[in-house]
Amino acid sequence: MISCKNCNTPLPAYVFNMNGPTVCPSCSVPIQAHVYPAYFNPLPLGSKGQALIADGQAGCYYHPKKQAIVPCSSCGRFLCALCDVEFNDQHLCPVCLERGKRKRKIVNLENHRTLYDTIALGFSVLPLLLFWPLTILTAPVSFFLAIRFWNAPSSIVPRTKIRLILAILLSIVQMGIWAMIILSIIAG
Amino acid sequence: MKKKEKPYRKLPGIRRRFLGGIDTLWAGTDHLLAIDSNRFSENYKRFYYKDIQTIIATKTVSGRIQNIIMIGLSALFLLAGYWIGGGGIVFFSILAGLVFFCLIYNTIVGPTCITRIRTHGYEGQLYSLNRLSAMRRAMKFLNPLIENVQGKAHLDQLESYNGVEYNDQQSRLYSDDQEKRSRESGTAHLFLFVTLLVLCLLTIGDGLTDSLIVTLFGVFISFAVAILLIIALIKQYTGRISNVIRWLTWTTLGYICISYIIGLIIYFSIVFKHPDAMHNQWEMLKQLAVLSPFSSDYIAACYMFLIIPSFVLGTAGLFTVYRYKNEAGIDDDRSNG
Repeated sequence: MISCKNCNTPLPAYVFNMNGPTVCPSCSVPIQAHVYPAYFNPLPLGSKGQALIADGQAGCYYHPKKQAIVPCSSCGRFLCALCDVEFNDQHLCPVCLERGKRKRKIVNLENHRTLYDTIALGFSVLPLLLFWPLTILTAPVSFFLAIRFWNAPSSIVPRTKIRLILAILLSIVQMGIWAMIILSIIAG
Repeated sequence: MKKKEKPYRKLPGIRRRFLGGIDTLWAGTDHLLAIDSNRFSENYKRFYYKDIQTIIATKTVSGRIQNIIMIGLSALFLLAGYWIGGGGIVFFSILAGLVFFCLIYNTIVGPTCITRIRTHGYEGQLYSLNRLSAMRRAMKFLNPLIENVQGKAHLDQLESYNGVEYNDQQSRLYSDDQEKRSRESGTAHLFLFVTLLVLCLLTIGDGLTDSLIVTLFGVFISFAVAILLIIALIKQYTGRISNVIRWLTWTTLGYICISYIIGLIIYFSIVFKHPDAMHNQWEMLKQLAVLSPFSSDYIAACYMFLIIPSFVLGTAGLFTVYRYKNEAGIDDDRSNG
């Protein structure tokens, strides 16, 4: 049941897929509702896998008594219908899927990323704005982070390395200034 | 040389949160990517085009409320600037200008909305599509991508939706049931608007006399208005009530917020003039009681601001609630007999 999010009254079919906005017939709040065929299609059911019928038939690696239908695209092990996971136009076994997620080899399974480039830039810029003497500590940290995570994956969406470059340049400048200050103090 | 194809394309709409977090939406080749970022890390949600069932945007009033608050704030800053005088004019004019700039921006980006997405196993909000204009532009790009994978929902499918899910009769029964179950009586709103009119009368009395009792009573009544306003807002959130009453109640909230800010400014101006009154509430009340609209143009303006809206809102609210209650009574009579 598709209902209005303002008054929770079920919406009639004639308000769906209009070119422009329309109003809820119950509460008169403007709405724009798009309904797609997936709403009317039942959820596809998975298969349990068929048992082996004759000798010589290939069995599943994880369920030896079931017929293999496809090899895993990653490890090559035979898989039954139950173990076969179709993902990104590939057939994977659960172990490879789990490993891919853990080792971040399958981008579409990642649901979190740390943005080291922003952190490195933050370490070189924020102390300048808040309390500049802190840069004696934060500049080396920023430089280290920028070098250490130069090749680390950043955001999934397109992003340049400009933050890392800026972090390196700023931290080098800050470290240079501190070096001059320290040297001048030592020299008296 | 062939240009490298980007895996994602940014869709219109962005939500900026307090402390710099942002929500954005990106269209990939086979899925929609919702990014929740706190600037230093990102969380992702993917909605595959083949799984998306519905995307529904509902207009909300938060944009309008923000505008009302910003209009009130900028007027208040201007008033405070002229009241304080000297360098205060420049400072408060800059503040008023900044708020006015935000108001212009808020008006240009258009009305606010909530956009919800539903798939086979999930229903949630697309936070970045929080403006109707952004939602429309995003849907113009997104619709062909989803329809390319799923095809268009046919007319017979939409008709079957009514037949399978609930037919017309069931729908009507459900709506009638909802109507009866959750219709708000309007009593809380009635009390609110009556109290608002009492407050208006007390403010007039406070301006004309130096009576401490009137001032004290006015303070209590303004607290009562705040409490009744909260009750009325809860009632109209959970129940069904006329749109005009809803709008008047929200406007009353804006008025109360601004009048509290005016009260604070008056409080601090008294504190500056009489520092010893700050820790003595009784002394502060006495100072408030002797405050007269005839002593200064700015105080007169404050009084006018407190009196006129409360009178207009109270009268209009009473009239609307009276009509609403009458109509509700007629409907009940019809349904009973």
